[in-house]
Amino acid sequence: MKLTDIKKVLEEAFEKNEKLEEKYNICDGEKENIKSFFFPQTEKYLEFKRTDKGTEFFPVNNGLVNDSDGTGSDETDGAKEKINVVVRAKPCSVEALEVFDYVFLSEPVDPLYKEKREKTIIISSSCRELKNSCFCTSVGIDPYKPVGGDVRIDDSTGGVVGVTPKGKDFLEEIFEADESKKSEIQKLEVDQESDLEKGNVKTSTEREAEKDLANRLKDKLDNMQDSKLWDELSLRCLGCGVCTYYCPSCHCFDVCDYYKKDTGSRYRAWDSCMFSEFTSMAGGHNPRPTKKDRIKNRFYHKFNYLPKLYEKLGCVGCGKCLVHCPVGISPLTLLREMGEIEDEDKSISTS
Amino acid sequence: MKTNPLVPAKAKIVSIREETSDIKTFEVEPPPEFPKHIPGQCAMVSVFGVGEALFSITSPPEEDNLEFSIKKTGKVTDELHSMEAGTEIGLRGPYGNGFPVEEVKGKNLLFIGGGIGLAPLRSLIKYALNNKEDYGSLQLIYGARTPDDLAFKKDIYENWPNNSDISVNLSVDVESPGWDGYVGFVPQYLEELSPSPEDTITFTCGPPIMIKFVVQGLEKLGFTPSQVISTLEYKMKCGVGKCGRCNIGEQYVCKDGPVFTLEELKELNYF
Amino acid sequence: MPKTQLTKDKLQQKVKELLESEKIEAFVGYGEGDLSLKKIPLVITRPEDVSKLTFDQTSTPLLSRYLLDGELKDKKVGILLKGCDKRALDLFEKENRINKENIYTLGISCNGVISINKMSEYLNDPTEYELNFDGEKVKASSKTGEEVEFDYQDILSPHCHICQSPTPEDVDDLIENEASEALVPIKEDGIMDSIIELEKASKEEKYQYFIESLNRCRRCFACREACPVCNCPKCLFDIENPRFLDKSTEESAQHQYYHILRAFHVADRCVGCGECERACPEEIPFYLLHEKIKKDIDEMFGEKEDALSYAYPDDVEPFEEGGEA
Repeated sequence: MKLTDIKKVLEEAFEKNEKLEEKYNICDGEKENIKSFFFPQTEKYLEFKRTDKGTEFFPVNNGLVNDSDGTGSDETDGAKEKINVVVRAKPCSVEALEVFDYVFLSEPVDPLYKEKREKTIIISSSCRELKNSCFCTSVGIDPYKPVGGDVRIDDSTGGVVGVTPKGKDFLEEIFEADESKKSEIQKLEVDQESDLEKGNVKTSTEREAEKDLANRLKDKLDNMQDSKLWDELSLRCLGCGVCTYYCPSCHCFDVCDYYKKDTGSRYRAWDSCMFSEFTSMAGGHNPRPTKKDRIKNRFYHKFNYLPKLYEKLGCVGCGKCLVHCPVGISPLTLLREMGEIEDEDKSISTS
Repeated sequence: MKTNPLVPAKAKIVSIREETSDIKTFEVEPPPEFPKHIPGQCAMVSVFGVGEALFSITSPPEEDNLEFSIKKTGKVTDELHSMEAGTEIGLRGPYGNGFPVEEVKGKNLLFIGGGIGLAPLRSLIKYALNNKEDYGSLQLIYGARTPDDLAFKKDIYENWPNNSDISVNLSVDVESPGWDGYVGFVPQYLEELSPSPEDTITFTCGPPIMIKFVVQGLEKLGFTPSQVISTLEYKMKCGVGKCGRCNIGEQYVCKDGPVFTLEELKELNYF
Repeated sequence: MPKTQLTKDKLQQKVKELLESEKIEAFVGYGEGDLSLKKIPLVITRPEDVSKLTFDQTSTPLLSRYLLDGELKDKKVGILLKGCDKRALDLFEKENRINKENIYTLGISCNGVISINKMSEYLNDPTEYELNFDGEKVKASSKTGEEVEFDYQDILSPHCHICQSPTPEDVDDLIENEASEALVPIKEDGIMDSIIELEKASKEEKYQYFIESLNRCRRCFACREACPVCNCPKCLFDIENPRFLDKSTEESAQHQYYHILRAFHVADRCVGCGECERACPEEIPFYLLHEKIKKDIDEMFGEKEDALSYAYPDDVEPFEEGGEA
């Protein structure tokens, strides 16, 4: 049995047991962008009605509105109330969640995120499918070592282990419902003939190196404000938001109101630092008026600002930006420029 | 119940004063749970159904009600300008670091403002006047395009000139009928007045271009970067350092600012 | 020697001459990207950099758009142009967006570009493969040694099937693409097979198809930014006050509003490059939508230029409900 079959094992267990089916929702962390589970593209958090007397608040279905007469909600949307079980959470995706935790769980804690985070079970596993677009090893991530997660598929011993209390409880619940799963799940064997043994990927960088790498990149970028690289990148960049929307660690958002007749709502929605109006103010002033300012800010945010704030990189090397960028821009260009990875003479040059 | 920091509390507009043709001051009764602010701090004002925007609180913390002086520039401000006293708005905050009122105790304070930029300074000026014993001499240099564009007319023409604790210097950019004061840009006026940097901290707020030249002028007069304090105005959506748009370097203007010393701004490559 | 190499050599030699003779200060062409299936736009300014220039059936992004941007606008620039790209440039000239005096147009006879979306109908992860072009066959090989062979036609981008002038006309110089002729099976009526298919469907089915496609939109605006003719200095949808488009991606109507308005906005200027569809990470069939609108316009108004920019008393649709124009 292959490693990734945890999905199949769970699906079988759920099929046999209605209770599990009703309670949990299996999500494929490889197919879907994990951040969407905690940070949906659009998220309503306030509903209101304007009357002659003032404004009435209504609790949105998560009951988080702090209106004094808000009663919380009894209505539950079935699908939303299910607990998401994210399988095949690869090290890059799980590492990216740390950026989210850093942003949304630091004071003031964001209850919308926290609630979903607490309700989600992450089953992390190692990744043996390094693709042409992957560069996690270049940003200090070991793809073979499962990290974080509530349940972890352990390569060294084979089998599935509960890491956090909710992860352990989840496994117990599966076993209780279906005894046969116990042996099955604890004996998930590791695909022995891995990419690593086939010798077709770079050897992994130890996780301990990450802090050092973050510092190194941070220091280099401190002196790269005037680099020609930014001119080159901004010339090529089209200014769309693909890189940010598909990035597992990008988390910028907008707050918007929707209003029709007397009722309205307030929601937050994904936004992108690559959009020209992201920082442009009502009076016309824009502190980041050019594409160059914006692309520079994006890379600095990931490789300089975040490491300064919490000693970790904001890029996990998943390569999604590269895959989706219509003109092939990715942090690889930057890493190459900084000498952190081998120059394959592929980088753009206008010098 | 868990509270969402993005959800505002309701607050009532108590009164509205017209300052200039496009600036109005809104006196707002804060919700009971609203913490006392520090001069220079801001609050997120909501017009339900239209949106939110961050404004500096222009009243001092000693007053019960909060005041916001708001220039009509966008959709939220347009809507606010069409409101009447008694209307309910949303409020959350206070946000930001505020002016270092404790650290500058014992110093002379020089305030340099342009246009609506007097709004955050006014909170500090009133605070300093209320706590005069803690500070040295106070001086204000304030300018706008025309006499009509000078905000807080009651303060700048009556309250403060009649108060011997503060000296008031007003200027307008262009010759205007009935104006016998200084004509010229604020940085020019500063050069002419050439205040001494000795034991003095300068607070300057206004349009970015004015700040740029004021800073040059101050450096010429011998002010060191740690003696110059300014506020930055960036677009903000969350006010709590999460939405990601008001960063300058690794600092978020909404959370780590809006008040920065010139020294800090230089470190952040802002100047 | 592979034919692509021959083309590449000619290209590099030509650009070298142009730069050395100082006829141009910069050249906009294609270079190698980090993924072998995606050539990237590349600007070079030194003769010694011409070795970075390349061209093959993965040179997809349109280059003319870069001439609208500040940096290259006032320079003497050479540019490599496929047929569609030249059509875009001609449009810019007509609309006074560029100064043609400053531009040296180096055309290249195009034999179409491949579509990664098309490839993913056959392969799990196309970007894991390298392509080898050999006449009408394409061999895809992965680093794990897997090999798959295609007919070039099967992975050709949809817009290339109907491109009526893959070789740009009226250029300063033209590079004959060695692999050209045999590879482009052009449909002479210019109508995509998928449109014929689509038109067979019922109204409801058509509606469902487009709504389901459009609902995948994440509003990243890649379609707009990659489109060479969607280049208003300030886009309606970027205006914040008033806001014309909700940031929320939950309302289907907003997706329709954005994409259909955009499609109409570019319908009579579309140069048929397919960049909208290629750039879309959700594989929304924009190109099909645009072509269908173009076909409808042609059928209703005749193959008239600027059909959307003018109104005539005998227009097919009345301007007012039940009334006369």
